[in-house]
Amino acid sequence: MSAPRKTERILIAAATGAATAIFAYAVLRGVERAFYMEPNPALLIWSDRSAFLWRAQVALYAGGLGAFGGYALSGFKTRVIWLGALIATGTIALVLEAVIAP
Amino acid sequence: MRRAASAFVFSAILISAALSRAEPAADAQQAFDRAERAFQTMRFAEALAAYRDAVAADPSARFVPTARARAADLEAHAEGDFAPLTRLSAVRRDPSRSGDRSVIEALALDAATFPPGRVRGEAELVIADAWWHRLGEPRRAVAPLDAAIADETGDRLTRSLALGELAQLQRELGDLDAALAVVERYPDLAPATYREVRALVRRGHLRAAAIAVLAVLAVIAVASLAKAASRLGGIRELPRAVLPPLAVAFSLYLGGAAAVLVRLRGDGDPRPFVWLGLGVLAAFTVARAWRLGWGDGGPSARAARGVLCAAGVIAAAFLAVERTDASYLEGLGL
Repeated sequence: MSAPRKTERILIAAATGAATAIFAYAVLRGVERAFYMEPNPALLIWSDRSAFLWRAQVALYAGGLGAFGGYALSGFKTRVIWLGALIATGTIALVLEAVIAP
Repeated sequence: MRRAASAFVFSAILISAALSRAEPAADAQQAFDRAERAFQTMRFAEALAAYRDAVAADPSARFVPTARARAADLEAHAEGDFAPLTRLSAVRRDPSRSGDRSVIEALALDAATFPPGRVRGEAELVIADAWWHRLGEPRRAVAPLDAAIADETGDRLTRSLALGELAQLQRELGDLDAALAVVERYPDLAPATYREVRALVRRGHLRAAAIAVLAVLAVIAVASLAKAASRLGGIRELPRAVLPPLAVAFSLYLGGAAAVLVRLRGDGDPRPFVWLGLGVLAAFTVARAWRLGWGDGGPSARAARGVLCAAGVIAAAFLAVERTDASYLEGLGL
């Protein structure tokens, strides 16, 4: 099996980054609901610090790290079966988060 | 005529009632004023008696809470018929005296003869504060602080304050083991100080381990780079061989993007993330040079290389946080 071309590797990296960001968002929200149940300051006083925006920023950062990992992993001459598993895991995590800890 | 006489009698009754009510209030105010004057001039026994008189004369007066609090405080410091309190107050109330070496030495001699009670511990605190902050001889503050902590007849708050001060002093003197020894002797006296000092000791051990790991990696890096340079045919080939663009981009992203996020948030210190990115880049370089210099090796060699480089990343991350903003470590229980 030949190694993927550069364009394919970039696409794999982008998909990995997106899946990682979704998974990271679900985990962050779950951890926040489980361990840091504080009142949302935006509901009490005006605040320029939205908890949602902060979670989204951290999830995007984690997605960026995931993209680097995806790019590196795609260089190996193996089938990219892990990407499907990662996308499925991210999706399930997000659904669970939305149902259990919205 | 009869109506006017009745009005006169009624008014006279009202005035006399008001005068009879005003009498205890005036007595209480006089007693309180007398107590305050006595307190200011350090006649504490007289002040205590006058505060009690003020409370007894008019329990509903506005100054009664103050009088009660002052009386309770004086009662708690009454040992030796107020002689120790008078001696201590003479120094404590005059900033110029509490910065005078001979005055502090004399107070220390007298404090050793004070009877058991609150004043003795408080005097030791005043003496320690003078040696440490005013007279610039922090080592001489250790003994009085020790005495204040050990004095079980002293106030618990005073003892815990002395314990916190002594732990802080030992830390400033660079003797963390002594600070740990003192907080371990009285773990229940100041639990927050106990936890803080234990965390500092734990961080000291982790710092030593992290430096050891990085030192080992540095030695390996130097040897590997030399070997790799000879294999590649010159030192000019090294940067391209040991620093692949993906590793550089990843490290920049890891440190730079995190630092930008922290700055956007506005209340954090971005420096640990910048150092983390550089540490990861250094670990990449070591791993790459190691492989280039000594060959890929078998599975165990690869595993050893991976474990050591991962330990290097963790060590760099720990030092990055500990050296820049250790408050991040508190959130991790370190």
